[in-house]
Amino acid sequence: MGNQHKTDEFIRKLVRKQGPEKAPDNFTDKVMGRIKTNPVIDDTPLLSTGTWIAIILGVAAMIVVIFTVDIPFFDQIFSTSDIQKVSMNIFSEGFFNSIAAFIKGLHLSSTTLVILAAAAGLVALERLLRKRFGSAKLLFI
Amino acid sequence: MENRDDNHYIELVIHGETAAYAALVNRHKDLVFTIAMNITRNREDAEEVAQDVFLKAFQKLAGFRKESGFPTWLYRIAYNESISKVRKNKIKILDLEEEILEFIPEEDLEEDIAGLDELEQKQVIAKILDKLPEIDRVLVTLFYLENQPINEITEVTGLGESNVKVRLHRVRKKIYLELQEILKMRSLNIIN
Repeated sequence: MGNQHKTDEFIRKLVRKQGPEKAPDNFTDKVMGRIKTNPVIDDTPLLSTGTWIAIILGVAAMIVVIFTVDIPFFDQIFSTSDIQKVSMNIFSEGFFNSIAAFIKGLHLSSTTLVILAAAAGLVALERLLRKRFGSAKLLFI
Repeated sequence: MENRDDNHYIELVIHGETAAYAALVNRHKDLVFTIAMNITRNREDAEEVAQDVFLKAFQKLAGFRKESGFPTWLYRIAYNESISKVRKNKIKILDLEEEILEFIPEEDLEEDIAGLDELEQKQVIAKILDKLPEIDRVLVTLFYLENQPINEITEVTGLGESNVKVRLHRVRKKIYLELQEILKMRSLNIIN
């Protein structure tokens, strides 16, 4: 340990003799010039309002599809538990009925609705990920 | 402008006094440029990277959480921007050679290098640092020049603590090996 400390001190002395590289002349002026042409401080939140709306719509669409459309797969799942009944009690039944009536009025098949809900979810997820990891450089901050 | 701490200028900048940012640039430009040089090994690229680093830091200043010091945050941006730059240029970042280094007696080397004049010592250390892989050059800059503790170096580089320690251990040996070689060549008058 003592030896290593001595070695470190020796190397430190050598490296400090060399010193850091000197930034070029007018470096600060060049940086400040670039800032003047692009003076915006990025204080936008991680998720924009639009992203939040997309996420909420996506989630709402999935909930609506799950609880209002007659999909055999979900029926099988819910038949083994009381999830559907509980859920319908938690949310307003009238609200779901009106949405169900609206969806049925569109004459869309359950498969189409599932696809739409999944697409909405994916769009929301894509926007979320693009916002966070839009460029490789952003990953590092 | 008064010599206040970084946080003072950061607050000014966040509250709209853009000109206060010049003090931060002046204070940290050499180290940021050094890190960029360590990795890009090219002054033009390093200048471009260093400018980008300060521009990016300015734009993200409101998001700087002060959990780590401003220099650590800035060096992390510098490190990552430099790596991105060399990747874009498709320059291969050299990693540490996995050779087993023999133990080198240190005392003699210290005496030998002390016998060189100031300029010669600088030339010798420049030559040694130039031979190190890029990431190790950054470690040398942060650990020996900037005196940063290991935990802050891990924040800057994203390397694990044990990885940093192992690399620094190998760098020590490598520096001694190179030093020994250069001094031996000098004593034989093979190089100047």
